[in-house]
Amino acid sequence: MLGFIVRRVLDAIPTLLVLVTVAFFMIRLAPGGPFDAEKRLPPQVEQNLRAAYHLDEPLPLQFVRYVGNLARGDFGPSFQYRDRTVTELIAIGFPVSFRIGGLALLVALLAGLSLGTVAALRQNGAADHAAMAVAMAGISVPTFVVAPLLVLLFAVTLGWLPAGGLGSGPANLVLPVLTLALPQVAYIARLTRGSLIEVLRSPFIRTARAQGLPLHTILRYHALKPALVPVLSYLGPAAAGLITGSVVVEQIFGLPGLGRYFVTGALNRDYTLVMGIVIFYGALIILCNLVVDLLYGWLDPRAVQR
Amino acid sequence: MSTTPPKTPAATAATTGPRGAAEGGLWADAFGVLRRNRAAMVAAATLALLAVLVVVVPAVSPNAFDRPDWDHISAPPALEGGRLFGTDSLGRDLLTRTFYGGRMSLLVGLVATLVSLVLGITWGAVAGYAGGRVDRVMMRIVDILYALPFMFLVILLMVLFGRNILLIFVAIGAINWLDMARIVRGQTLGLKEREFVEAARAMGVPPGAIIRRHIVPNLLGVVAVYVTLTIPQVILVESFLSFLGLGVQEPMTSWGALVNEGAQELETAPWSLVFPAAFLAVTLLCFNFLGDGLRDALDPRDRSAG
Amino acid sequence: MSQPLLELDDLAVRFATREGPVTALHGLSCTLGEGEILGLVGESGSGKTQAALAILGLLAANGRASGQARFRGRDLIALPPAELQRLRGDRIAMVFQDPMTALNPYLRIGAQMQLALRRHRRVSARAARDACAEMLAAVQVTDPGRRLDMYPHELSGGMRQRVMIATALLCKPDLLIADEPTTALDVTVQAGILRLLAQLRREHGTAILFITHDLGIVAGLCDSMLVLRQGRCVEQGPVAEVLAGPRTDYARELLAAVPRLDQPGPPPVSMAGSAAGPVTGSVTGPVAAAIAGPGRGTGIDTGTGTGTGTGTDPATGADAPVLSARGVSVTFTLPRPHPFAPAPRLQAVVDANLDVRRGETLGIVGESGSGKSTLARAVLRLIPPTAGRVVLLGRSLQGLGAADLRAQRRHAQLVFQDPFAALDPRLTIRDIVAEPLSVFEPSLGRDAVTERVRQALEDVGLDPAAMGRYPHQFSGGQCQRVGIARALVLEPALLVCDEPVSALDVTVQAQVVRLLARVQRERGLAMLFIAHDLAVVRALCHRVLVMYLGRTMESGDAGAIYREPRHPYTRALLQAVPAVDAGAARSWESATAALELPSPLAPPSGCVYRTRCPLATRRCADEVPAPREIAGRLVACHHADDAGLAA
Repeated sequence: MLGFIVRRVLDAIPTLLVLVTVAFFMIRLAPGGPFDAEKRLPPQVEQNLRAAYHLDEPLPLQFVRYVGNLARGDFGPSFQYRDRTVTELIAIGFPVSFRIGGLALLVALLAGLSLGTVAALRQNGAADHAAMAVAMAGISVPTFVVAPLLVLLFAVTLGWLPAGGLGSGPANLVLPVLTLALPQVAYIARLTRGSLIEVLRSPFIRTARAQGLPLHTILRYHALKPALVPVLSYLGPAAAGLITGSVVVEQIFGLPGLGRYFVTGALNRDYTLVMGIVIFYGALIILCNLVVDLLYGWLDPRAVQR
Repeated sequence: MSTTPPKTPAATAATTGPRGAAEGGLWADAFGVLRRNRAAMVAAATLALLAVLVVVVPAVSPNAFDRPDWDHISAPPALEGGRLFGTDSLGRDLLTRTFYGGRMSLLVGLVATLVSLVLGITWGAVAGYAGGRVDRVMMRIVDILYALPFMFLVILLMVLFGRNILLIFVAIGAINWLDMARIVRGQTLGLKEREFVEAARAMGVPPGAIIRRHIVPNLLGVVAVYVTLTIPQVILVESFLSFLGLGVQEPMTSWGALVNEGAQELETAPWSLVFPAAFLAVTLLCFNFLGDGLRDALDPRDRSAG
Repeated sequence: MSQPLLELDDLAVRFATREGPVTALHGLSCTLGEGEILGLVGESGSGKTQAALAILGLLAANGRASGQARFRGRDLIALPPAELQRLRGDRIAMVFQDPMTALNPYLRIGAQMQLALRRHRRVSARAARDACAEMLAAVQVTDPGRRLDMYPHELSGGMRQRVMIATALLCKPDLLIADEPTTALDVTVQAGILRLLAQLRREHGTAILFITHDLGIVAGLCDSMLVLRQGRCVEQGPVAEVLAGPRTDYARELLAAVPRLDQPGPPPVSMAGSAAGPVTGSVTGPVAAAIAGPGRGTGIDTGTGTGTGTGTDPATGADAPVLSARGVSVTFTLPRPHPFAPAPRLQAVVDANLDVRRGETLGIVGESGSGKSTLARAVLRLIPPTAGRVVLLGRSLQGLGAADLRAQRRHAQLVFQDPFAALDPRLTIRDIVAEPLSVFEPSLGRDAVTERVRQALEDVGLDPAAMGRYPHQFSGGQCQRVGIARALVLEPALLVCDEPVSALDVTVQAQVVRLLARVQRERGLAMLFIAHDLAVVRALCHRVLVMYLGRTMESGDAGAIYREPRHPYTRALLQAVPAVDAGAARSWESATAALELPSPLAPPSGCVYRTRCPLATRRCADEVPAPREIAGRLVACHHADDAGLAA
């Protein structure tokens, strides 16, 4: 098991390096710079700015400097928010995104697993068809269509919930979390249904039935773990999906999260901020995959040996 | 771990008498199953109809997709003037724009899927068939790319290099080829171990002919399923970009861009959201239904059950 | 007399399918008394498994059972599901065919067993664990306490099946239903399981419904038997009676189809130039020369006496072998378990030598993991051998470029184990059989190709009219014939058959064996026949080579070896095979070598067989036995002489 963990952690290092390199060079090679904004700066000022941000150095040197700073957790100063470092901005934005994303993941797991299980147990029954119709809608109707409709219904027409903003209470979180969770609910429900049906068909379940075990015992002790494996391996992509989705959701509901910083940063050519967020999210996805791998090792006794 | 495939003597494969009454190959059988799947057939017909409409309607419509009509700004749907879907905030005919946007969305779906198909099949088939170190290195690269927050990189690309249709195709295709490569590689690995491929090798069939005659035709089923499920994803990604204002540029449009505009006028002109959103959702729904149907038809396990 | 334990009365099973209702079992009636063993015999599709599942109420969702199955007078078919559920695993237990998939891979052995026990018995977790360990010990699982904490994949197939049986026995059932419990296992392991079942009945009076396709097992284990064919009972009665005088054609055919160890082998090779016949001629010359091996000195005395062995290079002599292999070894390097570990190496084949002549069949026998298939692929260079020399038709295969090697392939063709997997499902039968022609005779016109395919199909007894069909429209036996036609269409000199009949039903198996024997004889083919079934090998092979853990244990004339095996492993193998004759000595009862196979990654030192060998001594651990010539064959055993005397 220890060897397994060590190997997985070692595997993550080159991935991170590639991520940093790609992000760095893509931005540096792009035409246009952070300071050619609306009003032209005096050449001397721009020169000073470039020197202050080390933009006048050769690229490889900049890269080494950047990676060195990264290793100390320093993402550098933001170009746009001149009085803030990128690290500070991430520290402000991430908790907002994390709260929504984490809640959405929780909702997606709970709802997805339940829907999928019900559908699998009532295969081809009415409950199955209803659950799968919901799931089909979930993967077919984009987040940005669902969000305005939810706003129209719950905020504008019914007036039950606030339409956007962070506000004070948890009421502000309901619509964003729901919107963000919906496609993941759909994927997890479909996945759970498929894998549970498959597992229930497997010979070892027949063995358990031949032992006279009742259905709930079979589900709980024999079927749950194997049926969870595909769902678990989907959690990595799900986390990535939630992160991506948060860009839209934060935009629509006007939430000051990391996704919003990213979009504005990208539009304003705020190199360091954008790069910082890409690397931060990349690291987060790698971390999620790592956790999934470890969970996998715990769930499937055979995985550790491979 | 074992070096030779496990031997399960007797009674594993044998059946008596010719199986399956249908004359013809696996494709014919699969098509027969698919034809009995009503949801999939309706979906296929709808998609075919949509493809025709998307080409024909903008061409024959009396209202050009990009001509503003200052007398009919945000006009509700009406029979008069053929403005069945109403107009947008610039007075442009939404019927024409919806179908024109559909042209773009479907085109992006097809082309980007093609990009991912070519990249993914080549990469996956080569890695799978070559095996050994080549395979390890190639799949390691895919693993690393998997951990990148791709959506963010695409957004970055759009911002940095301008909103270029070609770039959209390539960038979106580049996200999806990873999945395709993994699937194709897995299939190829499996096929390579199959005895009929070994039989061909033992008969002295050269590698190129083996790939052409035995590997690729047996991959097609999986690829077909995957393609029908990738197209909606790609359309979704494009509409997502357009929604953020990073996709196709005015006056061109796509469903995502239309939904974005519509969402902003949700309260005053709901029709400008409803029509494009409905078309987008129905298209995605159809592709997903068709993909599911195709998968069921080509998966022999599901064929025998139920 | 009291009522029987189980009474089936007109039991039928029907499935609702897309093509309409299908009857899998038509009105089966029989009785099973307390402590009796009833053999339910049939080939695939005979409905034997469905009968068992119907009794337990475990039919697939679209299946319906009708008629009666009275267990101690209670009709199980009409019983409410909840009550039947209480009976299952308590009074009636079942053991399934494939222990690889029938145990939950995600649960520890102990957890699975305790779930089953505590469903029916109110006992504490502690007591349940003890009971499980006790039961494991009772079915001769070594180190039961530790096994409880293991996962199924950490156990061998034989151990897993013992765990399955132990779990079934936890509640001391009155009736045990065993569905092909030994089919997925090696013969020596099978012998152990059969012994266990016989003992169970003896000591606990457990009645057993034994489902099998193997008449040998029925003969040795069962009291009465029932033959099923396509869902109908064809014949039933006491085992001795049925086997001695089957009354129906099908039972007769079934019985006749069973390959026997004591049957005469194939007719001797009739070939000019091989004066001494297969017995001596084949053993001494080339094989003895093989001991010398390449690069290990050439001046070694090869003529231990008998042979006409000329001492010439085996590849150039007058009766030169079609295929000749010397010192072939295959070592696989496996992935490292963690980045700092050395890559484990698996020696799949070690220093193998063989010759196959025109008109002669060489059998390679061994249990799973013996390296027999790897050896066959290595001599054809489908797997690159790590060492050794292979000569095909006088041409060394080493150092041949990819294109030259492909050109040589026309002379050596392969027949595979799984008849379905070996045919590309997307090609028609014509295109499959024509494929070798398209490679080697590309100049042939379309009609000429079709004509050749027609001829090849007729040769293997298939109707050429079926040319346009696809493999999935044929049965396993028919597909195997297509595979043979494909192998023969180029008229190769050598045919390599890798377990070609092990996936087929007994009657089909007999047909395919007859077919192979005929084409081999008619065409004077050299044939390499790989099988785990010693009886099938007996029917086809002139000489045999017995492998264990990649090493050759014994090789030589088939008749001599089957009559009088000299290597303790060969003897164990032969003893483990259940004999079909009623009243024949149940040789598996005394079969040795029930112990576990060692890991091929860490084979024992010295003689690899010593951990299971009754004759093993200190010397066997220290010294690798060199093949010696004893009684006209080569034996790699320090104690082969004593073994011969002891037998």
